[in-house]
Amino acid sequence: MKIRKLLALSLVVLLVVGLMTGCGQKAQEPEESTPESQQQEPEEKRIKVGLVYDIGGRGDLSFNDSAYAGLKQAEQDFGLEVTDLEPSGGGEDREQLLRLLAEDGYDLIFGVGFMFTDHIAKVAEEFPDVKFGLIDGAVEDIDSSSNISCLLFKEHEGSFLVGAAAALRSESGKVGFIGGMKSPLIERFEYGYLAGAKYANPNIETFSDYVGTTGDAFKDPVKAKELALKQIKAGADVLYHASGASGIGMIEAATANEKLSIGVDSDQSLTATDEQKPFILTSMMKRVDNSVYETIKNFVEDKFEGGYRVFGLNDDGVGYAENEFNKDLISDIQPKLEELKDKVIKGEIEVPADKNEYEEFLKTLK
Amino acid sequence: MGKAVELKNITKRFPGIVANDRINLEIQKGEIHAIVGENGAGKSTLMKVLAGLYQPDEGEIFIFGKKEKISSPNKAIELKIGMVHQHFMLVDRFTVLENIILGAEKKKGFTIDEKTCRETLKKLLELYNFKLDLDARLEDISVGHAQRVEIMKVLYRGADILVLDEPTAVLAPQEVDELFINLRRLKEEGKTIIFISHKLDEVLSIADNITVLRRGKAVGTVPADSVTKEELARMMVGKPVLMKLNKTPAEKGEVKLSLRDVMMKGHGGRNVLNGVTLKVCGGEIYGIVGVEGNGQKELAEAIIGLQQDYDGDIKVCGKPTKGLSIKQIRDMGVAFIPEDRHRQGLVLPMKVWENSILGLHRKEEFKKKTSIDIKKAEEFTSRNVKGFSIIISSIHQAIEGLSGGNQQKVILSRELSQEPIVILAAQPTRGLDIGAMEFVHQQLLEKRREGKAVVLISADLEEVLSISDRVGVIFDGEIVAEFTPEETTLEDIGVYMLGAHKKAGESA
Amino acid sequence: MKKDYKILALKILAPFVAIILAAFISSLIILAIDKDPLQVFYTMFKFSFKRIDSIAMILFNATPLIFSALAVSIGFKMGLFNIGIEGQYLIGTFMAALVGFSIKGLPAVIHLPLVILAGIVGGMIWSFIPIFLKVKRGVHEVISTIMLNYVAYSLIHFLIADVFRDRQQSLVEGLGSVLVRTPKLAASAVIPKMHGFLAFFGVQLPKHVYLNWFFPISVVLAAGIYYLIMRTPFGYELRAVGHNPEASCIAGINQGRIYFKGFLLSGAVAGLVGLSDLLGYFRYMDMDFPRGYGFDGIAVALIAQNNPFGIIASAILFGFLKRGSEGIQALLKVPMDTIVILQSLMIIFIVVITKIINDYVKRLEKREVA
Repeated sequence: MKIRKLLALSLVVLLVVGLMTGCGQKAQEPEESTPESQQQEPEEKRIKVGLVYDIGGRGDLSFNDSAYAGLKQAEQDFGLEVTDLEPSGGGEDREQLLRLLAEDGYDLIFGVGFMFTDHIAKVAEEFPDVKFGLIDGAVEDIDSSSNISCLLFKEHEGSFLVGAAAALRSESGKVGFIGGMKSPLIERFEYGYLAGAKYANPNIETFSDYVGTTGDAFKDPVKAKELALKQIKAGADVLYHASGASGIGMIEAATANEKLSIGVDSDQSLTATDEQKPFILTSMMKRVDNSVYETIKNFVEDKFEGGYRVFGLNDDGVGYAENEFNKDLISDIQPKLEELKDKVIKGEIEVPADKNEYEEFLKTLK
Repeated sequence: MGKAVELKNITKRFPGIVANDRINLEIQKGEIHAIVGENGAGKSTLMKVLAGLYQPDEGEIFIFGKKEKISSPNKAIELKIGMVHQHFMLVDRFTVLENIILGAEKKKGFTIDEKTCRETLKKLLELYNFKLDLDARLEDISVGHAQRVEIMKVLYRGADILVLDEPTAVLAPQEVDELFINLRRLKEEGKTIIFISHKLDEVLSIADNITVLRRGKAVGTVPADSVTKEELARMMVGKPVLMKLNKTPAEKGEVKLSLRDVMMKGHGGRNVLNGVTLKVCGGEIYGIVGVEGNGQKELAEAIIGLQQDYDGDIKVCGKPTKGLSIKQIRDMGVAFIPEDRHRQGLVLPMKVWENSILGLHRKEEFKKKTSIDIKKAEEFTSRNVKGFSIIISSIHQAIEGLSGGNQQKVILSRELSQEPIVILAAQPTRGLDIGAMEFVHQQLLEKRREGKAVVLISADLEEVLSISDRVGVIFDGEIVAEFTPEETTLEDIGVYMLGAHKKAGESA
Repeated sequence: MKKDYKILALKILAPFVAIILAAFISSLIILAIDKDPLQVFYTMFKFSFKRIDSIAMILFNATPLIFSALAVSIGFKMGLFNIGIEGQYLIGTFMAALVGFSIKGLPAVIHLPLVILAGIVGGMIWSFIPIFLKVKRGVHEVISTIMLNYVAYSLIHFLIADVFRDRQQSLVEGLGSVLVRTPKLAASAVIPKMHGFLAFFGVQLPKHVYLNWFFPISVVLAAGIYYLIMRTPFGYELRAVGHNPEASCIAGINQGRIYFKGFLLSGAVAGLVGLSDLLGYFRYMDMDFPRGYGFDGIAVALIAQNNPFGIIASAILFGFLKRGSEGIQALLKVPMDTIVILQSLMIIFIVVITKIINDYVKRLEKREVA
């Protein structure tokens, strides 16, 4: 019995030692060029750009992937060295990852999502020579000399256009909106959309519902589907959502009832099923990819500016999607939409971004 | 005939103790060979060596004349040695059949070939004349039958040498008789049986040869028909044991414990206690005998306060105990030596000293500011260890490593240390060897002399008759008869125990 | 006597053997993603132990796990499985945050203890429910605590998002988004960092390290709990009930009362789990407040075999795994998913291997006394 145990033990030890030395030989060479030695490379330095997603970010077919697309495009165009990281389960190490990238000699670092607001503010103070890009969040009291550039979007302007499209397309005179978690950000989508619908057809009836009050509201397609069915039952025939992954439920409900739906953030016609495609009127595009690309481009051209960079209709930061699938649905109302877009850009229409502004806006219509 | 087992110079050491010291033993094929000895004499260790659970440090083992190394229990089975443990290793929810074939199932594809198994078993049962219902669930059969299942298990695996570790400790007298019939039948069929016990009467009636162990050494082997009980006892303890206890006449005091019409319902609404009335005075030992399962356990639990769901009165020194916590009842001076020491009396993984203050741990004497005064607790334990001759290697060892007798002594020393008024002892000598048993009896008699009231619940008639002042026979939850030992005989009481007729017992 | 040394040596060596074997098996995973295992482990260790900020960060990471595992171990000692540390600490953290932001103008010497007390009370409230149900109604504590975890998740969400959300946060030009969080805690509720104290001994911690006084508090608490369990009559009763409820009951120990006290104590310790993060780092509680310490604590306690000092060591091991993985992610670009697999594998193997070794040691010990 003892001998068998001894044998087993020695076998394990042998295996471990064997593997260690085996790997050791392989490891000898590359080890010479491990990361820390890169800092000493005298040759012309490539620009290093890093990006930290939010938890579970990569692969969301929307916001985070859009940021990644911008980064990849920039990598190709400018020959950058890029890296993208994702925080661990609890997300407590957002700040650590930003800091480690900064320490590791990255020149420009993005934080994707407003959750990074406080962390970027802290790390940016520690590394004044490194530039930071913050998407959707705003660090208070900074100006163009700051090393933080906050990339913000006028989602209400884009929503205004798709709201108008919904009203123009609606036959029942009723349109609906489904939001994810109730927050100022999602309310901008809501009121922009409602305003657009009312502007295009003052007699239109609107419904809006929220999936919930917590972060889970962005990943609850079942609840979103129920809400959509409720609105459809009440007569709505065009539905718009700003609820992340929950929106899939709304699109399903609309498709099943042969009603139209409007996607959000990226062009959802492209990721929808073949069955759903004919029922997607358009999508409200939030061009995170463009904003990331532009920020990198400015940095490469030595034109990086801190402060707040707002993307709206005027610079295609937001807009509505047109593609081969929705051509037939949208082509006849497109002139009208372009006209509205012009008016918004010129300031002739002030798109409301919250409830108060929306009520003011309704008064101007009358 | 030839030798089935031969042990030569088997030595097994544990730190601080030589459990087996150069033991030589010869067991003939086809005999029933008893191994007797006090607890801690090394019987169990020796059998574990034989069963492959322990490896001896020195010595050789010959099985059927061939030198063997029993490296594991599986190897023991290969050598046709089967161990029947004192504590059954059976699955309650399984049937008898399933329990027997467990681990040695005959398979048909992926399923168990129950039919073949059943046929094999039936043949075995017939051959050895065992009565067993193969389809009964284990939880529904008696202890005696469960033991038969254990024996069938090793027979089914083809054992020729059966080792039975204290097989009678858990059995009622009638069941013991049945077991012996079974064993004799096995012997007729040529099986060799090693029978471990310390009940000398049983050993003398069943064994062909008897080997006595004392303090790890084999004192000698004698044929059963040429030795008396007293001679065996002397060999075991090394000094003559007084089989008749010196008992001074009782000096009865006041009534310390009284029960009046105590009724209790058990599972299924049946009355487990059916109006028990009795009084116990200071300075007397009141024995309660009966076939197990007639309410002894419930009676003890009601007195100590573990079961509060009864009708009637229980009074200690005239004060009713109903509604009081166990702690309060104990504080009134009730000491309790529980029937099942492993489950009710000790916390097995904890140390000896920790067990010896269980229940006393909040006493002033063990208090040091916020903590337990470990030094004092250790001193207390050491005093007990000395006073009760408890054999241990250290008071810091876990109590589960002690032999049954020593464990019982720890409980006894703990319970008697607090100057109790009423001592409730349930089966206090179960599983103990003669030396320890005598010790327990002396302690109880000592307390009697000090004027305490002692209630002794026991299945051992002889014990009860030899030390009690009065004996109550319990049957079906009722005291059906009350005697003084002088006015009755073993046979008389036996009749009442089986519920044949009732004698209107006058409570003293 | 010889065996004593062997046992001691095995006990000390067990975790190291476990780590080496776990590393060996993890190597296969690393090879599978085309990285060099030796380089990965080298980086992990170097990054973790050659930088003063990493070492401090490891201790910071370990702090909540020490509290959590201590809370778990108290339950285990009395034979109960408190799987509800998760809910208890979230409620505790919220209570602490509530006292932290709603009271203003108190001096720190009063406010900070008050905030910590609120955390303790929160944890106790959430542990009271399951133990009440168990003792009075016989509801199994595993079921009730798991369910209460979910209730706590949702309740915390509701309280933060709807009731106590900080609506004072401003939006720039009305754009972007703000955190869904409570108002910031008053400065008087913040736990001091250990920088000043350590500087006194010549150790200069970088500013971005959040190591605070909760770490020494957790160590002191571990010692306190060791004393409580092993030395006091209460701890004695707790262990007795844990090993053998029936014998304890017959010895006059009130099992229900021990369960109550022990579980409330477990909940009180659980209430401290989130405070290092809340009072030492975030200074507000948001929807995203770290989760999972309650479950990690179970693993930490198991590896440590419920020994309070072992818990400190195994929590530090967890802290190292976390810090080390930040290093290999940032420096070697090992993907997050792989790192999660690595961490989990390491933990599983360490649990399994320590268990095997400990069982072996137990067998040796038993043989000694048999």
